[in-house]
Parts: sequence; C-alpha cells; structure tokens
Amino acid sequence: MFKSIIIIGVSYFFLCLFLHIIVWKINRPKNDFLALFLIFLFFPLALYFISFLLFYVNNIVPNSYIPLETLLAIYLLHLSLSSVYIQSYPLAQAVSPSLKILKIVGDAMPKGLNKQEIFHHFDLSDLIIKRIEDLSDNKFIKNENECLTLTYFGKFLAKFFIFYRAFLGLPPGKG
Amino acid sequence: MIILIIILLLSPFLVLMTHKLLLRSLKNQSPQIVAINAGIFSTIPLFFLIWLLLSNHSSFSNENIYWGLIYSFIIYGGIIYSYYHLFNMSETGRRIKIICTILANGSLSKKSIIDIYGTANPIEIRLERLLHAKILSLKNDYYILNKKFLYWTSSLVENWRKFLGF
Repeated sequence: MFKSIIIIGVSYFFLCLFLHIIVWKINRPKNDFLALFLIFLFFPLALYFISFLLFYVNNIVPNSYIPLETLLAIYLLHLSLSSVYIQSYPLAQAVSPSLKILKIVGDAMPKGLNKQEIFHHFDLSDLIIKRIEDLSDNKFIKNENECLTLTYFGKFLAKFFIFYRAFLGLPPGKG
Repeated sequence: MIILIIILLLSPFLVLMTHKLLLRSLKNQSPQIVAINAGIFSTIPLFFLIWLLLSNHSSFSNENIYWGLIYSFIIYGGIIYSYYHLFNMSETGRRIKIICTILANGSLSKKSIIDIYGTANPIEIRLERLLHAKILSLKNDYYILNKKFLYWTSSLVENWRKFLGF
C-alpha cells in the first residue's frame, strides 16, 4: 500500500516538474511564484478531485474505488516534495549571494579570495533593486507615484515573518 | 493511515517548538545550524511514535511497516528542509527584509530602501554568517572554503538556473 502511494505521489511531483519546465521554456511567467503554486499545488489538487469523483462515485468507473485517505496520503507526499522544490526555487531565481560567494571562493581555491575580490563580483545596488522588481512582479508591493507600498499579500507576508521571528524570540533578520 | 497523516501534518509544529527550545540553549551557535539541529532532534520522538503506530496496526505486514516508515521519512525530510528554508528566508532574505522595512515605514521610495538597507552590507553580512557557520574560514585576509558540499550545491543551482532560462 505505502509502496504504491510513494510511486504515485513521486510520479505526480515529476509530472508537475515537467509541466513547470515546459512552461518556463516557452515563456517564463512574470509572476513566477503564482505560476509555481498553480502548477505544483492547485493543478494536482484538481487532478485528485477528478480522481476522487471518478473512483469514489463507483458507478462512473466500477470496481476502482480508492479510499479518500489514500488520495490524501498521495497528495501529502506530493505536497512535501513540491514544498521542497518551491522553497529551493528562489535560490535559482534570485542568484543567492551566499551561494555565489561559495562558488567564486571555491573556484579560486586553494588560494581563496580577499574581501575586495569578492565585492568585485557583485553589483551592490543591483542586489536590492532586482529584488524590489521581483516583489513588484509577484504583487507583494505596488509602485504609486515613485512610492513603494505593500499590497494585501505583502502586508500578510511581512506580518507573518515578524510574528514568526518574535515567536522564536529573535530580532528581525538582517537580510 | 489517517492518524499517520494527521501526525505528519502536525509535525512542523514539533520542529517549531524544538527550534524555540534549542534557541534558548544554543545561543552562540550559528542560527542556521540551530534550525538544522531542530529538525534532526525532533526526528527521534516523531519516528518512534510513527513506528509504534505502524507496528500496532493489526493488518500491516512487516513490509508495509517498512514502506510506511520510508513514506514518513520522505515527507518529514521535506518538512524539515522546507522549515530550514523558511527560517533562512526570515534570517537572510532580502525580499523579506524589504517588505518588513516598508511595513515599518508605511511607504518608501526605492532610494530610501537602498539607503536604509545599506548597499555594502549584504555581502559583509553574508561573509560573517559563512564564517560563523564555519563554511568559510579566513587565512591571511583570504576567504577559504571549508565545505566542498555547498560549492557543488552552488554549481548545481547555477546549472538549474541556466536550464530554466534565466
């Protein structure tokens, strides 16, 4: 039973990953996080709902009943794998400065790099400006008369992280 | 099976509470290391509970128990990984810092955000973090890589980025 659940859940994940690659190759969406949520979370949910209807209502496809808890177990596995990918995506999308530092220092081994040589690889204002553009593309902020304000989703996200850090007893992150 | 699903759905809260407790006792550790340890330490009681649940299920064979543990391990591994990234985002995320800064000030211009953020800081901050986590070390003013694993991770991410057409 669990073996089949693993095979189906992992297959659903790779199907979504394949769909994601196709969409990105054709035309990368401007609001890429929304597109990722739609592909990895809502598209399979729609598939599961259709499966549930087809199999649960036995007279549509007789003798092929799949218990709801099995479908839930499959979706949970798919959700976990999708969460791993979605959480990792920003590292590829936004050029993580930490990973870039490790790459350039690693390439310069065994000698390594000094601070100035590392700084030389970064356009420092670009590090912030490009992220502001991302936030605007993903509808977390809006630009009104050269002033940036938060959308409803931006406020929710900011408040979530502030609450999370406060719950852990930590000061705000340094970024 | 539904009880197993509920346990796995509630497991992020176990990681969160373990993280909160560890932060009190491991104050001088790198925050990222503490978050990873929270995931690792919470694995033991959780998997003991899952193993008890599966082995007491009358209709499960040993093979089914084995696959059930693998299933739970995959999901929980995903949960720990996602939790670590959520924490790391709160600690190091530029976008998170930007939106929190705008929330604190109501509205800001682009220039104000750059001024508040401080253009020299993002790289300095990251170099300090990487030193604190012992991923890099400093030798005669030169930064040296201690852990090759993250270098390969960085190369993998760069190749995936190119593959996606960035």
